[in-house]
Amino acid sequence: MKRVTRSAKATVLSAAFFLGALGLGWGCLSPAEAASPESAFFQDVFQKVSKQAADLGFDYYRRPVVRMVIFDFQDATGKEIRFGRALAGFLRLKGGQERQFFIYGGEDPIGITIQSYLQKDPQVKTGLQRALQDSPAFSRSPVDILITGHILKEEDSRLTVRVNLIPLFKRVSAVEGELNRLNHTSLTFLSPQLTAEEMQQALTVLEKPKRKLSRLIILSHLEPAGSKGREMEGNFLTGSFPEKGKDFSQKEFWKLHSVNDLALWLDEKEIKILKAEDWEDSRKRLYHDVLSGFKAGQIWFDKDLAPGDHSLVVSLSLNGLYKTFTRSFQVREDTTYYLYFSLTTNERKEAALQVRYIADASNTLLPF
Amino acid sequence: MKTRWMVLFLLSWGMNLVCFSSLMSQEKKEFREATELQGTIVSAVQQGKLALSSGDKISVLLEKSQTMKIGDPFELYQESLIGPNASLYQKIGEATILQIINDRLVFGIIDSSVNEVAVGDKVYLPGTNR
Repeated sequence: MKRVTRSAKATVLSAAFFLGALGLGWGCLSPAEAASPESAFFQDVFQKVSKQAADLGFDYYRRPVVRMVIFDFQDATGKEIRFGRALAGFLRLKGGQERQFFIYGGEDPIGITIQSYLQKDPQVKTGLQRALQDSPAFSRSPVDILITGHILKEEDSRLTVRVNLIPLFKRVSAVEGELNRLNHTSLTFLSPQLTAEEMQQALTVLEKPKRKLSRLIILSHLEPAGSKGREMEGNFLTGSFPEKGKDFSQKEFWKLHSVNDLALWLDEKEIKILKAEDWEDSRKRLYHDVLSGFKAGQIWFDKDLAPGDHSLVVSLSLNGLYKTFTRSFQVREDTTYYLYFSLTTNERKEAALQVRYIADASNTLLPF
Repeated sequence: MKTRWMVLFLLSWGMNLVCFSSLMSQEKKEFREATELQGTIVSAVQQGKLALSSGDKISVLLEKSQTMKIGDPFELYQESLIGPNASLYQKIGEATILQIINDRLVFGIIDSSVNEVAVGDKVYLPGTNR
């Protein structure tokens, strides 16, 4: 018994010692040292890029915080490489620690919006810059400076890093766009010489990790009763008849008498509306963006789903009569799906279900 | 045996304490030695102004060239009247770099101060290469 107690004590104390040593390791390691072995070069790039960004965008009175998006740097063919990701990650990490910068996170919808624009015009020239500045995502999350970069291999075992700083805080006039007078700034850096192994590692093309599961988000547009001047009755929902040409002078409404009159099943499991007060903090922003993007009102489901065939069953109770709709759909691996449904009418003025189904194989959030 | 483990335990926590306290004390200090301070306020941008406070612009001459950028914060220090050590300086405010004239001369704006800032007060730039 005594031996057991002593052994337990020893385990606890050695764990405490290990934790202490761990604390030593973390506490004394600066972020620069922890980031990568090329930290001296990274530090140099950060200092020059951040100085340029501050010169370009900082204004004590109008822009005391410069909001930036920094994308992973790519190789000459536009692919993401290990060195580019490490360098851009370092710039994001260090930039976020500076008082005068705010760096948007990788999951922020504004980054996805800009990426979709960059695919059309990598240099963000002409009208695209204006279109980006006019987009709703931009007005919600304004960006002052966009930083992109390219990495090229040189013959003497070095890498050339070209960093582009694109100011977005100033509206580009049509003339400036057409004449390509866009005040973009580029900085070029030459890395120290790398060994053959380091070079190979640096230029390794990064593949996106594949997920087996897919994500499904089910949305609907059901107007709360009372929103059209009707008496509000708790959580009751109404569906609207869309206008059918000139024969319909105004929208018609039918009313569900209770929330239980509309029921949804995904496969065998009944699903309910996710109430706004139950939304996870980390997903609130996404839900607001998705709802506004789809012009939807409710979120029913947001979870990972196994690939394969699935079915959605919607059951309606209208004036004592039940009507059921079934939609089957297939889910592939590693894809995000948005399933949007609304209630409408068919030619015989009967309730009908309208479903829109969007698959996003890149798994980036839609650019709303 | 028991004593040995206790020593080990205390040693590990001591190491933790040293590391975290050294991290915490790197930037935020109310008092600094004169040797830690890196520059001096040489003039107020607005001519004839003697007692400076938040919103006033100042020019600062640094003792050595520093790596800095527009928008970087810096701290203002005045000779401390408390304590026996004459070379001790007390933090009296914060400012922001507005313009870099060269690697030793900068213009800044006072963000906040708890005392009148004057020409001759010292500055400290957190996070710069010293």
